Amino acid sequence: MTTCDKTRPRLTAYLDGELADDHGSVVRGHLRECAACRQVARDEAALRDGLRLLPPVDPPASLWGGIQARLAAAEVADARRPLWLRVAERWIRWVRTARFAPTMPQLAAAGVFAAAAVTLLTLRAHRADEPPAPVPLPAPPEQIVRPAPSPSPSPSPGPRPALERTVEAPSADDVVADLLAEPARTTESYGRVVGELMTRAQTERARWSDADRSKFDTRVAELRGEIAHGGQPRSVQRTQRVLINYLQETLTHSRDNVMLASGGPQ
Amino acid sequence: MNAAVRRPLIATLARAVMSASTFVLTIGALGLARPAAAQPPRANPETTAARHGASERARLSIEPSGHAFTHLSIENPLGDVKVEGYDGTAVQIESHKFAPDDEALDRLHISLVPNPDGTVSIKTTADGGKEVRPVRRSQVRIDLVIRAPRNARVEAAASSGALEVINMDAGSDLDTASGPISVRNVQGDVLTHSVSGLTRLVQVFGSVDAQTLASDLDLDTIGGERLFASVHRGRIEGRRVRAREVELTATEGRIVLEAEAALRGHLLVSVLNGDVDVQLHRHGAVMVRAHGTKVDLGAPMQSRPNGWVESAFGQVANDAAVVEIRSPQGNVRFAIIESGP
Repeated sequence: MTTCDKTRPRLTAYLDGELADDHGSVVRGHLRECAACRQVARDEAALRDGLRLLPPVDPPASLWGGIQARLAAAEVADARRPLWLRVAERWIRWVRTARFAPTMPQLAAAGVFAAAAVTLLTLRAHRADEPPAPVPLPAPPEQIVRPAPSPSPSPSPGPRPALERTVEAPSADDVVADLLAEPARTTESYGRVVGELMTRAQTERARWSDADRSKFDTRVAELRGEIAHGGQPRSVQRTQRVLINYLQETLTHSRDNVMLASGGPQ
Repeated sequence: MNAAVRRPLIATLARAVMSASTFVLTIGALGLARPAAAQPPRANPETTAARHGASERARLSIEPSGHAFTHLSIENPLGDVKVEGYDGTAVQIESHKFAPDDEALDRLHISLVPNPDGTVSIKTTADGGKEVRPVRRSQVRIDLVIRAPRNARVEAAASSGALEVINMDAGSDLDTASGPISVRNVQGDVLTHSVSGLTRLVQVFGSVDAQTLASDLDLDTIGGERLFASVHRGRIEGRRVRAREVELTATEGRIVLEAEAALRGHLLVSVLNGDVDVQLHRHGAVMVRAHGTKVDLGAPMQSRPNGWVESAFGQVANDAAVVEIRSPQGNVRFAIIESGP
């Protein structure tokens, strides 16, 4: 009988589809019977869906440079260690990884051989008074050639669709990068028109009554709030279109005394 | 290997029967290649697409398993989409990919997801990675021609490619960036949005909401409860428009409308900076109000203190149609076209 304790550590792999058929079937079977584990699986799936919706973050340019610098420093330190120490460490690693279980005579013979080798190598190493060979240093961060990051939408781009997130653009000129940048471009086009109409509205608002101004400000703030929290670019663009229609209507009715008298911009 | 002989199969109808669960088919796997010279791209011939070295055509037909297909969702940022309604039940998809070479062609994918609830999603993508050679977007193209059951609603998005929907009975929701939109003989609610693509709606019988930012909007034979159309910078031209509620708006541009007045109908035409020209067929009484730099209502007008002018046609009563025209910085011209007795 599969217990919850055995199932839960496997849930991540199960949700990733990484369990082999029989293991997957066992987990699936347990989930059918256990409401608590089912809830845990559901929560984890929801969390993963939420994470998928987050916009991708480009690492800072200095990150790779830092990693390279640390690698280089480790290599320098490695190169400066005496050879016998490196050989001994390698041998210990090999024994550990190979799960070598030597018999006592084997161990004794190896010990004698190692002692002799270490003595010889130490003597040689101490005789050599030349400095260690120079290790090429990593390029400073600004010189590291990185593939151009995919352009990130400027005004609240929202998460990218799942299919787009999985691809990695080879360069900014590539079709993939262009496709990724497109929603932001469209949002920007709508944003420009909103800006243009808002500028016109600002010059017109002097003619409006206080009530009309207040109503206008409230509605615009409401729509801008929706745009700011819009999420998906499509949803943002939809709200931008509503705002454009509202601004157009307001502006064309702005000098219309009849409309303003009967309630002003809706 | 040459693209022409890479997949030398003759296109056959690949028929996929839907299973109860969702699945994804890659149409590319069912395709065949033809030399680009034999099948040049249909649209944008002046672009680099005309110089494509490899192309691939594929056909696929999906039969519903249980639920009829009621909703078609299409996203093709890489080319044209044409959806044509027909009396069958299957969704038939013909795709045509173009790329400079085989390697780039293999990066173009079409995913098809038929869901048990009657929704079919079709999406085109290009895959990438650091190891692939960059290909400019203008060098690749995927065109889709889809035949769908008439009573399926179409939701489609394209970028610079053309969107065309014909002979559908459940309306559509269409979105492009710079590509043109064309809707012909469609019933049901139609929504179109484009940043700069020419939008043309012909024979639409249902409510319409059309918006463009920087292109013209052409409306011909529109009948339904509501027609909302707006352009930011461009021209709206409507002919044979008959809707109970019509609202046309432009920030900068011209609106030319030939419409038919509906009883108790309301027609509102507004331009912030541009001229308006409205011709109205009337069957009953019409009350016209207008406001503009220069107003001509084609009949004696009464001026109001607020700058508006009015004119009445026929015996104005409760069932009169109301026309309001605003062009604060432009000219207004209105004329009645008397219909039969």
